[in-house]
Amino acid sequence: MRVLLFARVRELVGGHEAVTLDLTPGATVGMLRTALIAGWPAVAGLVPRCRIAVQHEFADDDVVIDHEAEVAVIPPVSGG
Amino acid sequence: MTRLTWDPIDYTALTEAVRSPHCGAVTLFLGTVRDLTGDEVTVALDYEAYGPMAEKKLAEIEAEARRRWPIGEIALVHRLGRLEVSEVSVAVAVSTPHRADAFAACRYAIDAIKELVPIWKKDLAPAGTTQWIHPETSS
Repeated sequence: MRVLLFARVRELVGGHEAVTLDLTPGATVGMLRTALIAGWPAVAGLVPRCRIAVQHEFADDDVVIDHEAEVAVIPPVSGG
Repeated sequence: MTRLTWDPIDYTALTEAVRSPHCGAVTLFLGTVRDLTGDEVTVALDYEAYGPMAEKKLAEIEAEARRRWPIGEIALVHRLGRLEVSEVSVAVAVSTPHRADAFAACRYAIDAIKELVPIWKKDLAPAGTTQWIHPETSS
C-alpha cells in the first residue's frame, strides 16, 4: 500500500514523497501506524501525533483501509 | 469560494468580491508572516499542502460556516510556497447582514483552517537552517 508523506515526516524518511507498506487485506489505520514505525524508526516520535487520512478524510485507528484508497500521514498542521 | 494559490493574495479584490447589497457587514482576516517567535528570528516561511485534501477541507469549512451563519459571500484563500516576512499567507473574507455574524463566521473559519486543513509551514532561520512547524496542540 502506498502512503503519502508530508513535511517533517517526509524529511525523516529521507525525502520520499511516499512509501510502500506491505499490509494484509483488512489492515486498519492503527496497523498502518505500527508498520510505518517498524519500517522507518526515525518517525516513531512523530507518527503518534499524526492523523491518518483515508480518501482525504481523517480516519480513526480502528478504520479498515480499502486497498484502493489514497492514504496519507498528516502531521500536526501549521497552516495560517 | 475557496482556493489554494502560489501567487500573492489580492485581499482588496477578495474583500470586494464578498461585498453584497444584502450585507451590511464585511470582515477580513489576514494571516501574515511574523518576524519573531519568542526569541527566534524568521526570515521566511515555506508553505506546502496536501492539495486535494486541503481543497476538500476548505470547501467543508465554507459549507459549515454557511450552515451556521446567514452568509452572503465567503472567501477562504491560503497561499503556498515561500513567503517573506509581512507577506499574507491566508485570507478570510465574509459578508453577512449584521456585524456580529460577520465576526463570528470569520473567527470560526480561520480557527477551522488552522485545525483541519492539511497545510504545513517550514521556518527558515537567518543561519539558513530550516524547521518544519508541527504544533503540540492545534491552535
